[in-house]
Amino acid sequence: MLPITFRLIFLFMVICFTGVGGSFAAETKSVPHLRLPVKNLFSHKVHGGLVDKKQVSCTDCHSFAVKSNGFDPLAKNVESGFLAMGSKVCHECHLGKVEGPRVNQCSLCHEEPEKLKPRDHDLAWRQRHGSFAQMNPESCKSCHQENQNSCLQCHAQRNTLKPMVHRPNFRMTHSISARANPASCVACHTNMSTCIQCHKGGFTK
Amino acid sequence: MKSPRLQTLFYAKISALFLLLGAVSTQGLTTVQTSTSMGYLRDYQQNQRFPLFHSLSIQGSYDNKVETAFDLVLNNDFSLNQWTFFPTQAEVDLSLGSHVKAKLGRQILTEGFDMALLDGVQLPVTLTATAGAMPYAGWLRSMDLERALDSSVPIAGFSVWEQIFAFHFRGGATSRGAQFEDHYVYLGVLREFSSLPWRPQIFLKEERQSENFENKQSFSELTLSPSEQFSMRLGSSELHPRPTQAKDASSFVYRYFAISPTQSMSADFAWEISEPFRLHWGGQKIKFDSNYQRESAESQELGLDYSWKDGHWITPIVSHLWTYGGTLSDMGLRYRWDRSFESRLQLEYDVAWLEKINQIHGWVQHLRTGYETKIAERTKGMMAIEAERNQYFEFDLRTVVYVTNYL
Repeated sequence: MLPITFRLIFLFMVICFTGVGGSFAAETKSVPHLRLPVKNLFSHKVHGGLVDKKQVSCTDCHSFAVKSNGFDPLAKNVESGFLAMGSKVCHECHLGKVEGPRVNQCSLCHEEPEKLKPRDHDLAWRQRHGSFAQMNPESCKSCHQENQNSCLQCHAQRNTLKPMVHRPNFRMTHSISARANPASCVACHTNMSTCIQCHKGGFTK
Repeated sequence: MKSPRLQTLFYAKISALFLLLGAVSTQGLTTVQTSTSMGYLRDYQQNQRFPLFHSLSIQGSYDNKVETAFDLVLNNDFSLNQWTFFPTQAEVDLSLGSHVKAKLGRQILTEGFDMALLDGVQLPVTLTATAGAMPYAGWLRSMDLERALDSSVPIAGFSVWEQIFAFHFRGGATSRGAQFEDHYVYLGVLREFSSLPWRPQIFLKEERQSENFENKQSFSELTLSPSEQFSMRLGSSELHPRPTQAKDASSFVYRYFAISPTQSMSADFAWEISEPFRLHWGGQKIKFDSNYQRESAESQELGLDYSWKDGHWITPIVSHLWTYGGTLSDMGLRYRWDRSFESRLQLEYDVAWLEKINQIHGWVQHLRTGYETKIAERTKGMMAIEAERNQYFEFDLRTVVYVTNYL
């Protein structure tokens, strides 16, 4: 006989199958404006070496599709607007794969990059993101690439000015926190040596 | 590998290999980040110490969708005065086709109730747009990378995930232990009802031993969003370390404080009162059995975010923690100024009054401040200072320098 938890889950699923649909991915807000016009935002000179290195051709970024107002094959010249590349082309390299010396990579092109975050990232996301990241890591990768901004960058950080796990003064207050929620400690610290490193004479401090 | 000299040589070679991959690759993008922290510490025995900390991070993205990641930390542990290496990540990702990827080396594993480092292989397979699987195997290590003992646990398992009618399912099974004698199954379900009032979102996750369905761990959460400006969450959990063959090594920390699963109930909300003001509150009630009696703990935290023009943010926070180990009343102030797209100033001050079960009480203070900016075309740097003052670490001052180079 299935444990009651699994039965409740099954019953819940049956009820919800008859319910309305939903979407897991939170909607994003409208895209904020670019800081500059596209033609000023992109510099062939700056990208030239890298483009050659990766053997990127003109048509990889630019669409030279010709649009004519008439049936005459001798149509107007292609307007410059058709030479512009879409945002996907920029994101192909920049989104998570390429970093520059900026505080926020999205600010490279966008004004108010804070508004690019999905809606569910706004409120208390730092406390809530764990469940979602574990259940559907693929949805995170649309912005947070595998090896950059990954879980380890926060959860395995040591001695950083922006600790993501422990509060300030934790060296003095951890004995109180450990007696509040021991399970939260063993999420990362499972070994006796974690304590013995400092408490060689016992746990009296 | 116990010899420090051998360790130094080994990790130096690994670092050089990752750097070489970036340097010689004609089709690669490599970033290198280094940070150095130096400090002065005078402990409760009036001994002066000078902790030194250095980290190296190398990330690479190459042709044929090969990616690498390497993070190494070097620390002269101020308590033991020993130089130690901590490789927290050494991973190579290989694309085996359009749907399969191989991740080799030291990497993070976040499946079920595990969040640990895996020395092994993960093979994420994308079956369809909404379904996939991932077998994995290797040795599991805790995130703090134990220094004196090697309590790595052999593990093999798999996860499968699928989205059906907007339900997200993720479940799997693992076998762990020296003889793979412990078997567990786990299942998680996530569903958001975005068209219902208050857009409820439900998350349930549970793990049990597969033979007898005992040793349960569970986590459940309900999130309600009546509007775009208000969100609240109710949660409960029951957690405890798994019995493994290395019982003493892997559960010592937990068994020192508790002998039963830790049960908790929590609630929190976040409220955007108006454009520049955001209020957040969180509370938790925890219960477990210690060696003496049934213990309970309570915690609460209240914070307010305020932002104004030109990229300024300020966040005052107050919190209170009550446990059988003592009480902690905490006040903090965080300030951030995004001076430009390329530079940021941060300041954080925290002061707390603590009263411990062993009659120790007093004030503790912590100050952190740092400035990050672009210092050259392909380089950014950060200078930071951190200071602590309390009855044991009478004065601990550290300076931190980060330099990030983009090759």
